[in-house]
Amino acid sequence: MAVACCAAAAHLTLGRGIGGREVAVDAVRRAFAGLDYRPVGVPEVAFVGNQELAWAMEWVRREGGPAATSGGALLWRIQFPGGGEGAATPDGAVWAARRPIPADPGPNHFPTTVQRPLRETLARVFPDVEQWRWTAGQSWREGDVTWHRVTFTIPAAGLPQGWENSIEVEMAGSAVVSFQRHTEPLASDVGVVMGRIAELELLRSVGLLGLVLVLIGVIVAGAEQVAFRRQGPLFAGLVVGGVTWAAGTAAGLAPWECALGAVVSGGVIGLLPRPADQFSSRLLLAAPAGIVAALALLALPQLVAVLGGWLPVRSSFPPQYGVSVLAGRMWFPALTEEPLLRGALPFLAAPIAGWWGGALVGALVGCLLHPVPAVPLAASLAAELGLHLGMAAVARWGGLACAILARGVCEGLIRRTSFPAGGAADALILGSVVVALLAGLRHGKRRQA
Amino acid sequence: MRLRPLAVGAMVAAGLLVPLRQDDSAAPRSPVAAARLVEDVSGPADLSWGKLRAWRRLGDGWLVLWQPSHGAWVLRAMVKDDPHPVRWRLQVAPWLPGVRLSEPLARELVGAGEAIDSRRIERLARRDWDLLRQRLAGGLALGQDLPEPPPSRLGPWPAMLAGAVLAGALCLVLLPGTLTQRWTVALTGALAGLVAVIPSVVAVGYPAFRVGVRPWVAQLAIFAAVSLVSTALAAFAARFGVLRGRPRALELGVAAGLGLVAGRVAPAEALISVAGLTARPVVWLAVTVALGYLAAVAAIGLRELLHPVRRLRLPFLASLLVAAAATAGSWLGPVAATLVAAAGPRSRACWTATTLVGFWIVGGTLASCAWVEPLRDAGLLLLGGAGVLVTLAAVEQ
Repeated sequence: MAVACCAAAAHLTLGRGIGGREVAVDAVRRAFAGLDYRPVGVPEVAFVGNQELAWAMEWVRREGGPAATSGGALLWRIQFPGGGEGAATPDGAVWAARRPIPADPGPNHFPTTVQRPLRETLARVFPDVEQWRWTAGQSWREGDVTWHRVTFTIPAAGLPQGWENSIEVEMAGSAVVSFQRHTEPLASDVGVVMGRIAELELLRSVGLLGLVLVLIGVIVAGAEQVAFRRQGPLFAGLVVGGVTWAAGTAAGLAPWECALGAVVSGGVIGLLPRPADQFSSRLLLAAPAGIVAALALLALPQLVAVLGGWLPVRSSFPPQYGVSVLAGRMWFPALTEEPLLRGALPFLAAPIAGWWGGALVGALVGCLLHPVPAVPLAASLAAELGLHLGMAAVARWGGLACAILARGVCEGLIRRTSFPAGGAADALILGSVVVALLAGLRHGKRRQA
Repeated sequence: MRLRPLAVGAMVAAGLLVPLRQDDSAAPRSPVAAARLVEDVSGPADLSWGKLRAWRRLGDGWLVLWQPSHGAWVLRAMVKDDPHPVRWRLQVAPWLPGVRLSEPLARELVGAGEAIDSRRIERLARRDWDLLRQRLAGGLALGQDLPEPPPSRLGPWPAMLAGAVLAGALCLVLLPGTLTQRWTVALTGALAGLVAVIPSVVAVGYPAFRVGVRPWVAQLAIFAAVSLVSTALAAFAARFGVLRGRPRALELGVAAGLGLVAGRVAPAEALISVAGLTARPVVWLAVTVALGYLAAVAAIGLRELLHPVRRLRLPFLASLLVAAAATAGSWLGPVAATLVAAAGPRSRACWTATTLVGFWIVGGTLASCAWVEPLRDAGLLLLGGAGVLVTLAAVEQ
């Protein structure tokens, strides 16, 4: 089973990240060469994702397979230490470039005669420049140099119908100093995505209200424990709270979110009378459960498409990228939501509605927290509800720690496609799976002993 | 002579008749009537408004809101009690397509002079103009800015209530006494009734209706939020229960009189908005039982917190009540219910607090609404409630 888990995790991880980094760097270097500029040094490369544009593109191409990388929704931004920066898509289309202004930019051109030399210079970067349509231009003088800023509408190759592509070019003297492409999507296509993002934000506020209510219950129950002088695992609570705070910080969350998450997880573990104790802990279940949940969630977009709906393949982009951010995004929800929704809520609700009643309420609250836009909206909510019900089943038969591990593994696998490709990120996810498996094996041996 | 029923009746009458200085006059028309006024005299003519979705009482006027089912725009209007002129404002989703007007054309369209400042906002598929207070989205006039509701600040009184509720919950566990689940059943029933009529109640969820959010999603969010809070309250009541005790008519008479005064001193804007609903009696019942229960738990906690100074408890609670009357504003009803219930025995806290909250709602509605339906319902509740109290006093005697 361990080998099968590792193989499945490797299948879901390796090669799934956003690639094209080297291709993009080469494309930007070639573009600079076309502009008669040789950048020096090893560039800093960062990934930039435009969330709304990416989802709008997936929405338009819902029947045409996975989302295209065109349109500038996914970009590698490249900055050279000696000056010069640019951006290119993962498939090597140069999106933007800005070079330092040359000491001698060459002879100035009149606004009426600038078009021809501009097109000739750009032809060294963009072979199809003759098909571009001049849309707007302005010129001004700075010192001895005449500047021109020109906007072309360019053929929207690879873009959905109704979408437009334009490029803004700046020229100083006879040297093209910068260009920047823009994608103007069809408003109704973006509207589908933006409207649903706004709707999900509203629904998320209800989910947060649910978390706050559970937190109040934890505070009351914790105060009860203190009043009766019942000793909880306070040290374990402190450790879990500290780990949660570290995960939130790594994920780039606001300090208040990190602190609240730490208080929640630490409070549940340290103050409540060990809600998971009523079930035997089976940590060996964690990694397979997380992988199965991730497999189901990753297969769901195709299923929804078959049924005539749309669910994005790619999960949401984080505000920053990096291995630590991925680690934080994997483990922060696992460490905060699982103790609250699968530990505290079923424990508090058990005398009234039974463990499963509380777990069902927890799943209903949890499904409002992280849904992505979908058509119909219920598809996304159903996907999240499925994840949370699965985690409830894991917590019921494997214990709370098992649910935390499974959720972390699952989050890592489904978020892999929203992070750049790289060995460190792959190692982090696969390492998490291995750690979950080792913890399960060790726990199983201890139980047998 | 049956003095006790007379005394109870006199307390209720005093709560209703004691002269108070009131800054705000009563709302002369219902929110639906205010919306009809806008539909008759004002608003953008060349656009589908959609249905009237929500309203909110703000100062001396009604904020009313229309939204079509696709949710791409929201029309809000402010109808003052003196309704001239009615101001309206359209909010349009940023992605909606439109035209890109030049500045002179935009000025001409809104009738703005050359001298005023202008701001151009380039959208995805249109150009918006902000010409001082007049705005254009593409070629669509958006109307004028409306007064914004003040940011909600909870202040010290809700914090005091929350702390007292926590203390009360602990007291019910540590010093339980004889508990009864009848209040829990009543509370659960009242909250279930509220959840059942939510489709008629969503109109008071004004902030949930936003541009770009389809109304059914906003209504679903309100439904989910009310269901969550109701479930949590019912679970709280089932866990901690209420102390068993028989009500005393004189205490309830005092609570009723004070509740009426509290409602008349500071009518809560939320209650005025609720008065515009057709399902207002169900909401009043649910709010009365829920707030009454929470105030009773808070009163039990406050009573135990004041145990070290028990000889000074009554003067302390009275001084807190005076301070609350001056500063608690919309929270006066629950705060007064907590303080008055804390002055009496623990076992009758729920009766006292619920009575005070119920009469606070009635008093607030009578003082702040001047159209017939809520006045009729509040009047009937007042007569019914006072009748029950007088009967109870007669039976006691």
